[in-house]
Amino acid sequence: MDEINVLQGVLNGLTCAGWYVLVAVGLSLVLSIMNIVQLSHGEIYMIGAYVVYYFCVNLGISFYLGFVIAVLASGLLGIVLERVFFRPFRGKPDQALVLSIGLILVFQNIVLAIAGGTPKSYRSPFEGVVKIGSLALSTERLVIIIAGFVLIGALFLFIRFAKNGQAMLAISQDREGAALQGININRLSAIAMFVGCALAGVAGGLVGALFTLTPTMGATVLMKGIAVIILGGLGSISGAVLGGLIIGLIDGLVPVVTSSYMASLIGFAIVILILLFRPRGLWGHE
Amino acid sequence: MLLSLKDVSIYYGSAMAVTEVTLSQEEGTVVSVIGANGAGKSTTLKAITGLVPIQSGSIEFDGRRIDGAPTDAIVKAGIACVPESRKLFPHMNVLSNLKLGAYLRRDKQGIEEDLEGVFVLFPRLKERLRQKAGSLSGGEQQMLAIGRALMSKPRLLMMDEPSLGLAPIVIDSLAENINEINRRGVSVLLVEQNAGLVSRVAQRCYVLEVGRIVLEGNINEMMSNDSVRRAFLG
Repeated sequence: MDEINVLQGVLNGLTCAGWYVLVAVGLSLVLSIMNIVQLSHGEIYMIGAYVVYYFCVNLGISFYLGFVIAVLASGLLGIVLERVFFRPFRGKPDQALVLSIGLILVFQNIVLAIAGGTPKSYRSPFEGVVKIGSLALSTERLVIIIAGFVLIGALFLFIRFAKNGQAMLAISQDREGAALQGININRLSAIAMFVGCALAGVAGGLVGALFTLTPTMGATVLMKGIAVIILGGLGSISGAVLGGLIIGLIDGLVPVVTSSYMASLIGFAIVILILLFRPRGLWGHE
Repeated sequence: MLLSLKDVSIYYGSAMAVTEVTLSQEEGTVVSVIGANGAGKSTTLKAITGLVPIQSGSIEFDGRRIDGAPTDAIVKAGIACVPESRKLFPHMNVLSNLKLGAYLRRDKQGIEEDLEGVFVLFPRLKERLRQKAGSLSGGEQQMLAIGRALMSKPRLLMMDEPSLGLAPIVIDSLAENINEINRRGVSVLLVEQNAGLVSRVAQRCYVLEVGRIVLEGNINEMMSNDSVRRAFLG
């Protein structure tokens, strides 16, 4: 294990971090605004990737157009989910949880029926390798790191300075108190679902080019996303970023020392260890 | 009439919580609703703010029906509420809490003026501007809850047992605050169990007993009445 390998592991870890954070922040946003553990969030990510594939490969239109449509479609799907499925179950988190498990099956089978079970792949236009000294990072991975951190930075600024961002924070801290200030919970839930699902679409569209697409590809990223927000502290955006960085770096660095199979094992073991000593997560309240 | 409830009945789950309550308030007055725990006071306030639906009857504000309207429309119409457990945003600072009170307003200048108005009323809040709401003392949290409600520039301020958990000396200044708010032209609907506070601020009073209005009248006549005493002592 030399220095170069470790630095390479850090770069790979940052790629994973950008990927996980984009998914985890959506989970966290939906959890804190709507009080729902949205387990079919990984399927939004999967659908984002398949939409890009459809436009890129099936229709042969450009990746960029497909990507923009995938992000918008994911966001709009989020609004539809909120309005049709989750709003009637607000205040009933258990039922909503079971509902979201059902949605996993629905989405996976819809995609299976339309696109079939054979793994698909597409190529992103971000070709080539960026060299920093003797380190190498493919451009498409660099794009994921940049997209992850730029978009999450933008979300931070929105929550900190925009009126509706503050309103989201208010809802997450006291729902009834927020309603009494005239904050429209329905409207902000829709905004939260749009933003969260669009970010999952961004992740799906970008990461989809790195791996093969299958209807069940959302499962892995959902597990990572849940671990990230539990580690960071439920409902905290800063926590999701911190948790994403930690788990991403574990996934990038552990393969340098052992095998990549060990990465998930060690990653989740570390999460459990941290939670034993700090059950509310790293950045959670009370 | 600024606020008028006619034969309002409210179910809470399957139980009738409030039965045919009729209540009215003129603009510029302080009206109090008193009653023991579980008499339906908080439920009535929640119905006025649209957080709880009513089964029958009507609620009018400034001559317009507001029952069935969403809470944001009711706040916009000019009703603000200081809820029983204050419902502050505990991890946000004092200034952010106050600014969220003005969520529906767009008049920047007016918001700044009203912020200053809140600081005149509660100088303590200005000293604690960057402190998290959850770290304030009980009295300070009550000030913040009232200040936040005033930031919506309400015509009617409703307060649900603001004296709860406060020391007697803090209740004294609370009475002064309510009178000052009323002098500024805001009508106040005060739900209370603390007789001392009610007698110092209210002009009219309704007594609620197991979901029904059993007595109403001028505050001075009421304070010598038996069922009033019962309502206060539970």
